[in-house]
Amino acid sequence: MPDEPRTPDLKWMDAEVERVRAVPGEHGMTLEAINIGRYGVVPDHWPYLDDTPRGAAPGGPVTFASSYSIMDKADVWAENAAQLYEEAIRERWTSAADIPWATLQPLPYEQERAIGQICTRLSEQGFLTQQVLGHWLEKIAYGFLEVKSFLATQLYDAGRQCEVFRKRALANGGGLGIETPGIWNRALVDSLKWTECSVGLHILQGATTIRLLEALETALPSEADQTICRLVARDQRRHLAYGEAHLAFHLQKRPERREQLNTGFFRAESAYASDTAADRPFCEALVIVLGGADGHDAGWRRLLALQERQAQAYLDALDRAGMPEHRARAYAAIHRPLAALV
Amino acid sequence: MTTETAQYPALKLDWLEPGTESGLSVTPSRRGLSLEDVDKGGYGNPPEHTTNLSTMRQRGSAARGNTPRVGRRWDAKAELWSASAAMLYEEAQARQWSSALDIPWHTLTALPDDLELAMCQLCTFLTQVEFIAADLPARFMPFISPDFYEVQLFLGSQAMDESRHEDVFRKRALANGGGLMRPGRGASALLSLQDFTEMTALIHLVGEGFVQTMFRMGELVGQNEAEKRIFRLCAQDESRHVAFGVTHLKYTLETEPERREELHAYLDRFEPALAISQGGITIEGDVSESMAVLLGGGTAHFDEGRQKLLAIRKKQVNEYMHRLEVVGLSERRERMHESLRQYLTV
Repeated sequence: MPDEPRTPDLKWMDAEVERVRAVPGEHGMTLEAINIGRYGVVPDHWPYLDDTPRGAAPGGPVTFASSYSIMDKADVWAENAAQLYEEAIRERWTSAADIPWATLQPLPYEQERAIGQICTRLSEQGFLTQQVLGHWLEKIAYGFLEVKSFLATQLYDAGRQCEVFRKRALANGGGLGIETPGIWNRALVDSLKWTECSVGLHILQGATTIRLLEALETALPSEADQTICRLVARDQRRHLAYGEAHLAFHLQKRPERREQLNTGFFRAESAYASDTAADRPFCEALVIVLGGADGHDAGWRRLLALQERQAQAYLDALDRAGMPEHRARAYAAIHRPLAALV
Repeated sequence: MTTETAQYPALKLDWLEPGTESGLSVTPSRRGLSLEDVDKGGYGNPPEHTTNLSTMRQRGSAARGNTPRVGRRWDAKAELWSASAAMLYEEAQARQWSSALDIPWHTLTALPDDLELAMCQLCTFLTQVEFIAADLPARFMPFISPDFYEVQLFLGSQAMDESRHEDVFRKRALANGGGLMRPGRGASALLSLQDFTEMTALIHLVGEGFVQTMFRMGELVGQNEAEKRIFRLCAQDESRHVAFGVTHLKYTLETEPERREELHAYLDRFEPALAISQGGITIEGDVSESMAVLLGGGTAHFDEGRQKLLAIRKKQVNEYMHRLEVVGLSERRERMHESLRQYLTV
């Protein structure tokens, strides 16, 4: 038993540490509040292959090279990541206690089943998002800790999206419906570069889902449904904000990628349009919910208008990120994915 | 209902009868509408072996039959299931906290230099390894079938918790006149783990368990209310992670008893590593020295602090042994690596 007294080495006290005293701001001790001195300097290229913390004193042991492969700031950074991380934590909510479940009222069978079908897609989307982010998180080097932290909040948000829509589908006498065609799922899983993945996940999926949730919040009858849509859309706005800021930063640092991105977005856009066109149960469910008491024709009209708003929201986001030219080059079917049907 | 010109196709509505279960009677429980409240009938009871190896189809929803595959998944529930996953996920949601706002940062006051540097050394170690504890569970997510979605939800909550731990220890290091010290060996080698049960054994049962015991001693380590609150909240989070691992490993040994020796093999390789890790079970090294300084109240009381650290090490090992007994590995008492076994009490 090593319990005999000994003289401490204490050499660690001689480390060349940069001494700072961060001060909490309006929102407390945020990541932005501690980004001072060398701790706030995010290099264009992160040199460490291990888990060396940014700003730590030099002289640590040489250790294992790890699996980090995104080492360049241009390939992952967004100027708003720290802010979005703190915002996500401030805006936390729980599906068990923050949804007024008691306001759910029995609905006609067709409408309840339609809501269940919509929930099936949105639940699946949350599950997909977790799997996609889980794949990428370990690739991002420690130096970009704000991005890793923000993506952890998104990972968590996506889990909540998965289960809150599951709970809604099962809570009012309906149930889950038919799975999505999976074409979109594959497009995201297939992404080979983080920026392309982010544009698909944060911008295309994010912007179109926000518009969908806004429409559902207006159309759905109960306060419980409206609250779910409002809270999930608020989460999605943070994800979209990261996507826009990352793309803007990436373009600024890697202008030579512009043409490749303009071309590459075709994959996600065509998958989005194909998946939407193939998901007849989801589209018909939307016709029922958006039409409401005004009937199916009104529902169709509103669905087609929603799909155009979704396409515009995506293109507007690209515009804000610095790719206005993509509006003229986007895959045409994103505006009207159901053109073969109506 | 208004009448309109039928310029749009009639709805087929065949999806209204997808063959999935409907009409569940669901009532929120005391803490709200939990997963356990809704997952009834066909929606509950994940299969022992899933056939949904390659799509995102949620448990209980209907298959199309033509959905493209997205990769490989574990088929057996025994590979990853933890009976407490849903409950722990709900608890994680209810107990999320903010490092920016829920720590009384104003209670930080200037410390004697030896104590400040010691706290910064401990925080440097913790901020270093906590990111790995987020990356590691996340990397296993793409291999989880939606039939076992509760496990994925739990791992997502763990990744969130660990990111917050990384963040709160970084914040503490930079908030009181110190800074980040020299890093240690860290834990990035753990990112090479391949098997879910291996990951759970090393991270949840051993790593998180040892850290949890240490955090629970935060009343002794912390020099002010801000630090004590940090350790208290982190310990609360780690308790969930440890509980997940214990229930998973218990389930594994109950359903796949032939994996017993394999589990021992993982522990045989990992336990000695704890003894050489900067923050492991040793009472030597930078982190252990810094803890002794904190526990003693300064370098002048190093021996007193070292005795307290020794008591913590004993507690860490004995609580580890207790977890091993709970999962069904009580014979580990005889097989434990010498560097740990020396702390075992009978």
